[in-house]
Amino acid sequence: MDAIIIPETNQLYVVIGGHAAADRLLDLAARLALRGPLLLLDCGNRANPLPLVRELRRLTSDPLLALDNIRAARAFTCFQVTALLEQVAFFPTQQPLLIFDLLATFYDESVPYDEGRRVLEKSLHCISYVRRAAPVLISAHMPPADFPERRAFVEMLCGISDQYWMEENAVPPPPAQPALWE
Amino acid sequence: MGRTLPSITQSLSEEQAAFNRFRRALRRSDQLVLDELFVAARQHLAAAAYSANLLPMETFLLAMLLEEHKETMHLRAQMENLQSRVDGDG
Amino acid sequence: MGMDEITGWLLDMYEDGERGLALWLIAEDGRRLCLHQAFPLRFYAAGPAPRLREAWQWLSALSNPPALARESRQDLFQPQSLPVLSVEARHPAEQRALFFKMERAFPDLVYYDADVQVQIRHAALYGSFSLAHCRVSVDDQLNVKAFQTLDSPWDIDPEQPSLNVLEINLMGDSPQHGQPAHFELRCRSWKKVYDLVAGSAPAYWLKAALCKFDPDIVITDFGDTWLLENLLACVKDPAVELPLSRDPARTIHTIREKTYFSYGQVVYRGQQVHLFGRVHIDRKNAMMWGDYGLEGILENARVTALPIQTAARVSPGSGISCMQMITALRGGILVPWHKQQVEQPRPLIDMIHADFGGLVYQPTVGLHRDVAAIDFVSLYPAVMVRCNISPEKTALSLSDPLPEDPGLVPRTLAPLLRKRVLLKQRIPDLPAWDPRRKWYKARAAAHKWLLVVCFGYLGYKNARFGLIGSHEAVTAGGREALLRAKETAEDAGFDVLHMFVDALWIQRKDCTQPQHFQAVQDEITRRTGLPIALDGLYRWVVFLPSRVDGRVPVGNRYFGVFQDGTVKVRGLDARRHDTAPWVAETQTALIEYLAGAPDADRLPEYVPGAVALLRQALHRLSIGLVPLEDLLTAQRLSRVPEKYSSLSPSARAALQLREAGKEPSPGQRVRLLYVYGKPGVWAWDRLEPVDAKRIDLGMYRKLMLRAAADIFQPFGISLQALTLMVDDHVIQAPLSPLWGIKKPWNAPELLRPQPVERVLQVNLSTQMAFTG
Repeated sequence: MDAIIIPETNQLYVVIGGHAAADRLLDLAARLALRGPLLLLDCGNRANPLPLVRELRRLTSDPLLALDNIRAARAFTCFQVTALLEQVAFFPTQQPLLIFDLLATFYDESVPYDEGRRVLEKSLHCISYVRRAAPVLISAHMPPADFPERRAFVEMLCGISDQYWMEENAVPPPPAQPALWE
Repeated sequence: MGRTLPSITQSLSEEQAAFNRFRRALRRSDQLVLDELFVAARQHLAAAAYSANLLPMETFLLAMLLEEHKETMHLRAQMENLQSRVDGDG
Repeated sequence: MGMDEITGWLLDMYEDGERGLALWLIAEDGRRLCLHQAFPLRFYAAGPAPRLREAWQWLSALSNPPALARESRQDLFQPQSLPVLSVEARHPAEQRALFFKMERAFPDLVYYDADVQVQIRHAALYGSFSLAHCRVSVDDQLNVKAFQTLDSPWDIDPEQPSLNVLEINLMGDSPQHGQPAHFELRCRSWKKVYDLVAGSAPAYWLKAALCKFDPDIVITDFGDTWLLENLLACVKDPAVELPLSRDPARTIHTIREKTYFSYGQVVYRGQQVHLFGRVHIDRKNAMMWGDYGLEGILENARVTALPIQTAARVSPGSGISCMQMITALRGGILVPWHKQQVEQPRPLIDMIHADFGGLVYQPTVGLHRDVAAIDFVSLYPAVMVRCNISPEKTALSLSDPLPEDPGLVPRTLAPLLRKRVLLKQRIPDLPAWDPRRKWYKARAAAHKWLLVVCFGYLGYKNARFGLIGSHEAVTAGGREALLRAKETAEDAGFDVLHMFVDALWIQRKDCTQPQHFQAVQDEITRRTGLPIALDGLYRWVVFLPSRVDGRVPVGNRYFGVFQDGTVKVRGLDARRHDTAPWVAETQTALIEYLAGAPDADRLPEYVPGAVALLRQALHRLSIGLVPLEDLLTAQRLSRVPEKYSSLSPSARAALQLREAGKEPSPGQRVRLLYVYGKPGVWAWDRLEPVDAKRIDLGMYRKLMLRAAADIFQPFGISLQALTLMVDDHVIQAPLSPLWGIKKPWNAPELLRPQPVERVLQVNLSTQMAFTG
């Protein structure tokens, strides 16, 4: 996965895998933050900022300055993912866009397959639009074992990418939400 | 609702784990002392959480120092107490 | 056509096809009436104008098209009002069908008010709620022409109907384990026990009781999951032979079991059986039966406006959601079908600073005397109201003046909070014999649960009016309140022994009576604007360290005795759901025995007696006097056995049940015994009975000693020492007269496990030294 580097032109990169994929994206976020502003969308509670800060501390003497370059938003349902992406596409900023765990909410059991597919198409449309003006980097994981048919979502995502990487033997995560309380 | 940030307890465990290689190379006796330091940091998790430091290890180090200093003051007080008794006896 | 006016209480309400709604009323003269009310209702769609036009044309082309209009309505999250297409259906069933069809044809539109339960809509329109006192005008067909609610869910002492309650109590084994042998029917002072024989006889006996008493509420054991369906299966024509529902046109409505995720936990919800015109509550399936019983359930239904049968079974989160919907509908605010509100991008640094929960301190481990526990009354809801925390508002801080224009969430919560505080204030003033005492307590408990979850619900991903930002503002307000309380207490010279989210444990040498803590409470309320109350004054309280590492204090493991002698235990085995009753009861008995000490100074004298009590319990175990039921532990199955990497006891038991054709679902608790040999467990609900000789006595002894060690630990008696004491019958003297004296620094050495030799050396001579 170390082969994935920051795109020099407006490209769409997709990384499919478990934690390693998200971690790699966080590393890239740190490096991008050294260059200028970027937007980070967390769609699966994967963007733990502390390793990012640690990485920044390694890269620069003033991690706070670089951190100031990062704006972030979270989405907790696939409808929120689309709404956020529509907003981003509607007000283009030409800033790199990093999306963590894009498909997580599309694997939610309360969203029927067809509905998920429709909403995902809408989201991918927005992403393609953003890519015209800025590089886009996306991580996603495979569907949980309960929803094998949703592998098609991964294929849809890879289909619009310029390049994609797939982690070998990526184990699908257990189908559970993180706990609210410590 | 999920949370993006790890809890402060998780943070401490992560920071502690980051020193695993360091710990492994220490003598057994020193390993145990190091573990005590992390136990000391654990006494102030709530305050560490509240401080929301971007680099939580800084706070944990200060918490360790705080407990160390408490211990020093405690020992000093005992020492003075003993000293005054010795002086009194003498 | 003649018109009639009827006054009474609303028992039940449901959709009734083209007639609209069926309302069941308990009239003041005692009649039970089924009324019908026409109930046309609207839902809305928003989106790009061309799409709305297409939708309009599509709807107009339907046979029997609904009334359409273009309107301007308010979405909570948008500053300007929104142009919407309004679709008016003639009755609820039509509305549902229309929405279903339209959503398929126009999935890209945004829908509002599309899936609101009829009871909630009725509540918004008429102020109705379960057991509301109301006046209706009806024609001679009992069609409602006018509906008026006469009281409010916020009344403290509402006039109540006299409800007929029929209990169906199963006797003998539970149906999960074996076959119950008898059942008892009970209504007021009448009761009768019947054999649960095969065939239709039990159904006929029940029918006779239903006809005789015509109950409004039927309370059962396992009625949802087993009893009622089984009884119905025994008769040929349920409508005639076993009319469980009052509505003659209907039998029962069964909602199938379900496993789902909630807050990171696997939750299992058993099957439900609802009746029409009559209320069925299954004690074994009612979420909070153990906490507040029927009174609490009825109160929950009153304040949430949910039907009683739903209120008894759904989580408090759904209740809060309904209350918010009512507030929204009344205020002309659209209720979104899918929540689409998103978090606005913001600097990552802000997120790091905001994204954490309540403050949980590490207590000063050890035994402390004369400690006051004070806690904020419903802290998070109070913060929401005080700081006007609502998705559409900018949150205020505790230092800001009170909000002038409260948002949706504070408007929903304020009356509930007020009612709870009022009830809590009234309870201590009521004499012990007053029946209202128990009633108030059950109702306050119901409010408590609703208020506890309203915070979690605000951040819940599917909450229609939730927003993560509001969630963070609430925890921030809570932390600020707690820190202000800490500073106030310290300014007044108190030691703060512990803090836990909304509670503080404080101590000052000269403060030994409740009134000594009044001034500091008043000052905290002054500095925070939030009510704080004395939970109790402990004669003594013990904060325990972590079981894994004795040096590490943990937030929520303590036990103590209030001045009135009541015991409070948190985080110990006695409080855990998966502890065997024998272990839990013995642990509680140990604490209660120690609670007999008139004050903290006399505690050491009670240690030998407590050891004797433990020894006696272990002796009863070893000679087989502990009933098997008391050794059962109920552990939650977190996934199907195949998904475990190493099988937990509950998974091993689940496999045994699979063989018996009774496999439990993930989220369900599996009752099991520990037995010798492989696989080490015995699923209680297996078909064959367990051989009592196989019970793993060593395992239970170990569990018991571990639980008891928590109680003896503050006396410097470690687990090993305790084990030896119990075995060797050494009469153990209290170890150290020092335990009660607080050292200037948190001195953990007091609580470190003592080496066994040292413990055993301390013998009667120490005792004499101590008492002498």
